[in-house]
Amino acid sequence: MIPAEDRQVQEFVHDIESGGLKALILRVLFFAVIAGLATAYLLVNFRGLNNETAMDQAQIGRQIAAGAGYTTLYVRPLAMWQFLEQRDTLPPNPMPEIYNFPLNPLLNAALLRPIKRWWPMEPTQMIYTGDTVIAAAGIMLFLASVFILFFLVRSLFDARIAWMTSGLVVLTDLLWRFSLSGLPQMLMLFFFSAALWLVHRAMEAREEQRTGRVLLLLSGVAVLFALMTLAQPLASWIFLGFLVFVFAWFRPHAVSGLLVFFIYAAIVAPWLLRNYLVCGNPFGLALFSILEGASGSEHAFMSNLQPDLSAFGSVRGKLRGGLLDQFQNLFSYLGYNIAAVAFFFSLLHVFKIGVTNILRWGLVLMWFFAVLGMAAFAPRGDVSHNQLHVLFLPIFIAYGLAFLIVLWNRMNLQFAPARVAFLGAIFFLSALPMGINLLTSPPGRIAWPPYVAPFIHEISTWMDPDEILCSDMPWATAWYGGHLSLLLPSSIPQFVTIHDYKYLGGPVNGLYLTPVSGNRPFLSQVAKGDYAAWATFIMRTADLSRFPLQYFTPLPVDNECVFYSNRDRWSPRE
Amino acid sequence: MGLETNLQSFIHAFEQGRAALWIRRLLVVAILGLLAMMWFAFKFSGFSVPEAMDQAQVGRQLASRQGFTTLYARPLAMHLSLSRTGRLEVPMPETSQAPLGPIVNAVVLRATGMNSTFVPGQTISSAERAITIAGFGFFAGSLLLSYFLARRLFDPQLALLGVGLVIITDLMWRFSFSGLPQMAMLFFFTGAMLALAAALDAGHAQRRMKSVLLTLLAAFLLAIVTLGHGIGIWIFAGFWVFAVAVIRPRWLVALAAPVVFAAPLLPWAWHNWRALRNPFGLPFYELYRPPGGDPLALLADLEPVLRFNVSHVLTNTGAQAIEQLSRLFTYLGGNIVAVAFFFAVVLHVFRRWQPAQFRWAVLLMWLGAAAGMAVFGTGAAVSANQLHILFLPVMIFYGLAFLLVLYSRLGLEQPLLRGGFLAAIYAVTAVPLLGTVLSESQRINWPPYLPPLITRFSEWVQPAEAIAADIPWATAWYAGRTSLLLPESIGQFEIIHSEGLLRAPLVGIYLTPFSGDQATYEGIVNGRYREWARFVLREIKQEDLSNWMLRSAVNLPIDAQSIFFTDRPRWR
Repeated sequence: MIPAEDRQVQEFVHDIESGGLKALILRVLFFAVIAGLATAYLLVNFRGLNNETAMDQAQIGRQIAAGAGYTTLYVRPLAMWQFLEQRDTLPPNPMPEIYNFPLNPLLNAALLRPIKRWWPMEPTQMIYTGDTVIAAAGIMLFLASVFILFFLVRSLFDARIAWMTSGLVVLTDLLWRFSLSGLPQMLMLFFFSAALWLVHRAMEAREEQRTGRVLLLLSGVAVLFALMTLAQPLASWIFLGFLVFVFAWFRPHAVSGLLVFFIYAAIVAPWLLRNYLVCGNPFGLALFSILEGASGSEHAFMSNLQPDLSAFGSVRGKLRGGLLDQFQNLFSYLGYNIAAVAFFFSLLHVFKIGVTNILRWGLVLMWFFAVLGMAAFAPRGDVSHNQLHVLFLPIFIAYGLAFLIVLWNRMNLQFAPARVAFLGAIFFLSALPMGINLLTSPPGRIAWPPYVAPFIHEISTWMDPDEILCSDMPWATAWYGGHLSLLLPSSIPQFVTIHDYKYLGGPVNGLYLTPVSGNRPFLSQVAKGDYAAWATFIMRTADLSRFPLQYFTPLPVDNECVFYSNRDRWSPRE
Repeated sequence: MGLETNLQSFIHAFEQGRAALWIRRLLVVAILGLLAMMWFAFKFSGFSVPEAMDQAQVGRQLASRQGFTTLYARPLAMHLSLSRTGRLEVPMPETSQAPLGPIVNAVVLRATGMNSTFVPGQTISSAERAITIAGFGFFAGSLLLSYFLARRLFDPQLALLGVGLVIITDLMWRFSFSGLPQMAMLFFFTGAMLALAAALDAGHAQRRMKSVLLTLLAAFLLAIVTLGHGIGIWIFAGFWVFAVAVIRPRWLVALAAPVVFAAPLLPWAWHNWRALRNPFGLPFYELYRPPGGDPLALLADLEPVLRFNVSHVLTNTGAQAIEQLSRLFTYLGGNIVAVAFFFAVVLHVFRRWQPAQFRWAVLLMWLGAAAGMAVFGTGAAVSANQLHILFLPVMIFYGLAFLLVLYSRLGLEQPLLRGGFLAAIYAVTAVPLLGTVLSESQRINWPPYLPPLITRFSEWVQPAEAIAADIPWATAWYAGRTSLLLPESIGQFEIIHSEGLLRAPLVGIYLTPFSGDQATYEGIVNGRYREWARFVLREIKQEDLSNWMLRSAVNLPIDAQSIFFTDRPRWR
């Protein structure tokens, strides 16, 4: 007769090993890992925003939150040209924003409004409060996407694969880096995950021949794709792939396809109309991004008050390079995730559930169109505004993992520890970039080079409100300094014109140069390239006697920054 | 009746028999020939990798009977030689490059007359063309050996398909025309694998002595691979683990293989020992590099602080491992079939024992190579330390076998679909090559190399004089003059000159976009060239030079992006 106490212990152990308690412990462990990673990334790894677009969209968000409408403190000379093409005078400051699409700035506005009292940066603050709030929201959106993904994968495969996929996604460093970046990708991932979930439901309804339900669900998907496009216009390429899929798979073909198209157009069109009314171009300045790498950099074009539109003739030549670049960097764009890579091999496998197989080809179509879009509007690094591979990463991981498990099962190894080791190896390899990133990230709490938020804020305080600051990183001075900031024009005469004629409503009395220009290759980009006109200013050898700004001071770190002004604003006053 | 029978036999042979196989083989050879001609005629623009130029000039030294010496003087090597042996030989013993590449180059240069001069209008020297022809020869030889290896492991059809995939892999061509020794290494490495596969067969047939001898032959061939690059030792480590586990008698393999492997390496180790008192030569000091430091900065220091720090080694290794991981697809030539190897190794049960067993040998050797590359760094896709390329053919065979098995499981038997599937694999594999074919051909590798101009230094600088340069490997190769790597500081430059360490006066400094196109502040003002910043940034004026040993300067093409400082206007 076993004593009652012993029996309770045995039952408890049995519960842990095979009962509900085991599942509960695993779930608690899973959520603990998520909480631990979120804490580590946000409180230890995060050094503030370090992406141009993220800062730009953040300052637009703050403008909206401040009640200034959809305006910007970051002025591109090309925007001035665009406005002057359409009307006689420039709009009053702050200028309407015509580069970024609105959804992410709107989200930022919603996040920044409640923390209005912390908008001014403290001199001792290393990480701006606004940065932290935006990054925290990115993490929440990421986790919400994982939540939706879980249910999607559970429907496509089973609960076990759904749990493991969620685990692998959470261990993928690239997704966390995007979460902290302030870029719209996590917002898009949230919509995309929801869209895929709805597409899956629509496909099931199609199998059940419930046409009305299919059309309703597809309408929802169209709305989500439209929202993605309003967050990042390149999402329209993914929508094109989806549209082809709808025309090809859903019935009635024409009705489904046209319905999706018109709902999508109805949501996106008002924004294009707004752009057209504001600046005469429905796509605003976003279209000019296509010139990056075609005949110089996007910045070189944006900084020109008199752009040479013949540069569009060189676009065709860059598409080949754009495709090759993606091909060669695909592994890094997919976060070095081995399961995601396995997705491509899973195309040679027939899964048991028909809908699971079909959706995979829909994904291939959407991804293929996204690749075409990214060939034209190339990503600048694995965490960048135009990097859309990351949206496909979670679902690729799901398919890849399922495929790897199928392969493992086919080997028919009746040895449980080997299976654990196999799955452990997949998790280990997927988490390797994260481990290396977290363990080897450099000490310090600033995103230097080139950003030192407290210094950037300090410089802005040197300027009077009606003065304009010019910089090679105006997105940062606009965000951290809250000051109207002009992108360094392509030539000194253009600068002088903007200054003398007060194009922006006031004189340009400050020029802040940083490693954005100072760390370019000297001969090809400073002495002769994009920054040739400003080479002597970057090298601090300029003759300032005939320049409006005749005073300058080198600034930290290691004197790699410099500030030019019309008077000494930095020496302590008696 | 007889005629009809003969015709039918012919058609049958054409469709399914030996004729079809020969036609396919001829097709593969024709594609190989066409691509080779395209590269020779349009895509080859001279050497662009520093080690290729360095090995070429060492090869020329060998061919001109000056021994294993170099015209490229590294301040670190000078420091080590002086401090450890108390003497500095001239010409300096070569302690940085492995000998296989220079030996091959020497043979080629001897055979072709060592013509490295340029006639007006010529941008690629005949010597470089000769060296790349040898590289192509090794590539073609490797393809043949790879075919035999794949035929032994799988079947003739897969072998031919796999060889076709290797041929359309762009990276293989880039290496063939790089002047690097990788193609020679590939030839011997494939030979080693063929020997190992044969050893496995012999062992399976209970012919133990033959099995051991073939294993030792593989070890010997791996030693030749190691003579191409020191990281070969790491490959051998993987080989040894596999051989000891599989080939019997184990004790004999365990003892004899290292001996056979080490024997060919001893003369090289002795040469390094004599020069630096270190059998591993100059690359060993990569382990002394502080994290984030520029490898060239360490080589350029005549007064280095050499402190071995385990944490520095681990930090560098970690960073280089993640760098390697991030670029693995590029290192594998953007070849998706090669990537499939990694899935085939773990997740596929091969029906035949040979490929099933042999894959572990490939994996172990690759892991060894990857570990070595993590410790010493890898660099660009076409670079001296990039040894993933050696594994590419065999990985392609395994990957292809795996993909074909996956396809066959789909149950799509129609020949048209199967042909479409193979065409898709070929199309995806050929994407990088297509990019190369469609890209505009360069005539020279500018920036920073301008061979016809660099050759002019042989007229401006006398044989008994020396120059310093930021690309001394190029001046040594194209100009044939003793070339000092721009030292860490102006003071060191002056010491080398005044103490006569090179037994030749330093009469010039040649600076190119190699230094001039570094990041302005991080690379030049506050970085590796901080002591030379005014020279690199062209801020030195004529009057500043009036009291210095080099009083004249001239801007040089293209667009005055290069500059030559010298003791007198030698260009007039």
